[in-house]
Amino acid sequence: MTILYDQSGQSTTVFANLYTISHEDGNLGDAPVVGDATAFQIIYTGAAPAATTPAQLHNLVNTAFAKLIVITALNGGIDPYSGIDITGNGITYEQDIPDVGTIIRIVYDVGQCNGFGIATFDVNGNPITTPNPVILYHELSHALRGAQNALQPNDEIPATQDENDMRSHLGLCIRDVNNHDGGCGAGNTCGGSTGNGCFIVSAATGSAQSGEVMALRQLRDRVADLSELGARLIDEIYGEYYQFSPDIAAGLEQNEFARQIVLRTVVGPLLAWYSLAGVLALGRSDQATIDQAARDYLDACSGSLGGFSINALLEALRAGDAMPAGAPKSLTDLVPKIRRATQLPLVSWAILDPLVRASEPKTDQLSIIDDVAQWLATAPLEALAPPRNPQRLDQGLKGLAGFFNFEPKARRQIGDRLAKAWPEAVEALERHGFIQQSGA
Amino acid sequence: MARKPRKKKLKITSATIRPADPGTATETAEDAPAQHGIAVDIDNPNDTPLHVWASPRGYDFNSETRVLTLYLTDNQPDPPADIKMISSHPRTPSQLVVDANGKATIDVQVPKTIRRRVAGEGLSLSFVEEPIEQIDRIDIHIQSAFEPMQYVVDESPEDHHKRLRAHGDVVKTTITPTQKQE
Repeated sequence: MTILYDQSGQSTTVFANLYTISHEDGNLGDAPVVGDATAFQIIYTGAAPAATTPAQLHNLVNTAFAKLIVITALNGGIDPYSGIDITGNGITYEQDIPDVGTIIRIVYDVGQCNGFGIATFDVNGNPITTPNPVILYHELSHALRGAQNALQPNDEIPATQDENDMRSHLGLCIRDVNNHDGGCGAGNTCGGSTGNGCFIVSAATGSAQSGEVMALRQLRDRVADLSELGARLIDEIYGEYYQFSPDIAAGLEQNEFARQIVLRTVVGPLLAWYSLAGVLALGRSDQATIDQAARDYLDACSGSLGGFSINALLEALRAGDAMPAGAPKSLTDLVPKIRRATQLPLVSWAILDPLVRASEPKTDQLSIIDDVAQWLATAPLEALAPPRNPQRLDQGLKGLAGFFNFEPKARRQIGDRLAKAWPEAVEALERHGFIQQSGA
Repeated sequence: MARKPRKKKLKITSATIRPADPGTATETAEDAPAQHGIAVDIDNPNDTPLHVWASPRGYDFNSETRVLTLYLTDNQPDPPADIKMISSHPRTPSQLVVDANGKATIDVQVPKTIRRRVAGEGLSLSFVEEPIEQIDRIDIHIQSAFEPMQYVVDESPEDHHKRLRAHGDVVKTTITPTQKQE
């Protein structure tokens, strides 16, 4: 046992970041620590991976160093042990604990400097983005040499060299290994990913860089470009997704048959659904593009699985009922983990609801488009706090309003709910066509 | 031979607590901890421009005396004795240039809570979050110099940290803030 992660702070993010470092290979897991309810132990099964960052993590987790490494993610602010303000930063230190010995602590800001971003520099001195998995991997590099009693006089150089392995994997800009400065602010991504893990899709398709994973990332980026509110909702959905998806992904890695089922009954229909929603909501698509997306969606949908109605299976999952007798074992094995997902409201909307719709018989293209509109109209945006800045609120709603141009009736449906949840936003909602105030 | 001007100390003239500026943060800022916005007014009494630390480097709050300590300087208390830093990534601060004999305002954001270490079992950080509220006084520490503090490529973090601490000087003032209602 070498690496623990702290249950205080943003523990889900720590695991998600480690999962990204592992290249989402499905072999990462966690387990309770006997006699210590405050932390979880990281487990990394299987043979040592070939790729650099998973190999380093595998080594850290599976080597019995004399010093434990404890990782804590905080939303900026003061690290209560060192007294250092970690906003926009990550730190690593040794702490002597009586009767335990020396442990190595990593404490890092996963709030990305209160949302302003964390920037470091490339060899030309240009600011480059530094997402959370990159920060954590940099600190783990320090921790590894700390655990091996092999810290360098200037330990930033090897840590930044290691950090660049993580950056290469994510397709991000490479950092100058001789420039250790940084701070709050936006930076160039060089077109890379900031490491939001599509765990189940990666496991089902066998790669974190598969076409399906890339398509989902592109869709997320397009939503983010058009609407801050939409981007925030996706981030919240990811937050819930991290709570259950690594477990399912790990299960899929062990079972090729289950992978194929998930690919056919979950990943395919969901991707087709999101693509159709994207075509309808995110741009001015011509009729031929809409027709093709609708056909792709119909092709991806399947009504049955081994003689069982998928719709009945999904409804049973959602209702908490037992699986029908004779349901595929590879699916029933995953049921406890999937059931956890059905209890999460954002995931239920983002994943389960489209799957249920996809499993229902379709009549014509119009009914499919209406389905997408109805789904968008039920987006749980009220789970978010509205932007405090009136200008950002206005911009956010303006971007969101455009998503409903293909079906204005759905815009008013979501508008009615938002007006109740966000009374301070009523004027902006009216301005962008979400509601019509009486007497107006 | 021209003599280097003797530096007069920067003056901290007032501090105002006001609603935090939402700024231009990206979407995640909406999930960020709530912040106090503090405007610190300063005067440069010199005939030469001053480069003043403009980004907060740390803060503390004493809930008994209701004094908020604000560090716009790298000269802060060291970590406790049971802690040995491996890597703290010293950062070059953003600096505000205050004209000769000029005035300026530094806008600082401070979280509305502070984490306080408490005794606890287990290996995780054990802490409580205390509110930073009803601030009676602000103990402000500001670093400034005639020359800008600049990062030097290839410099080790240790040397960077030493240079950050040694650059210019630090003024400390305890001030009763004025409040602006939200």
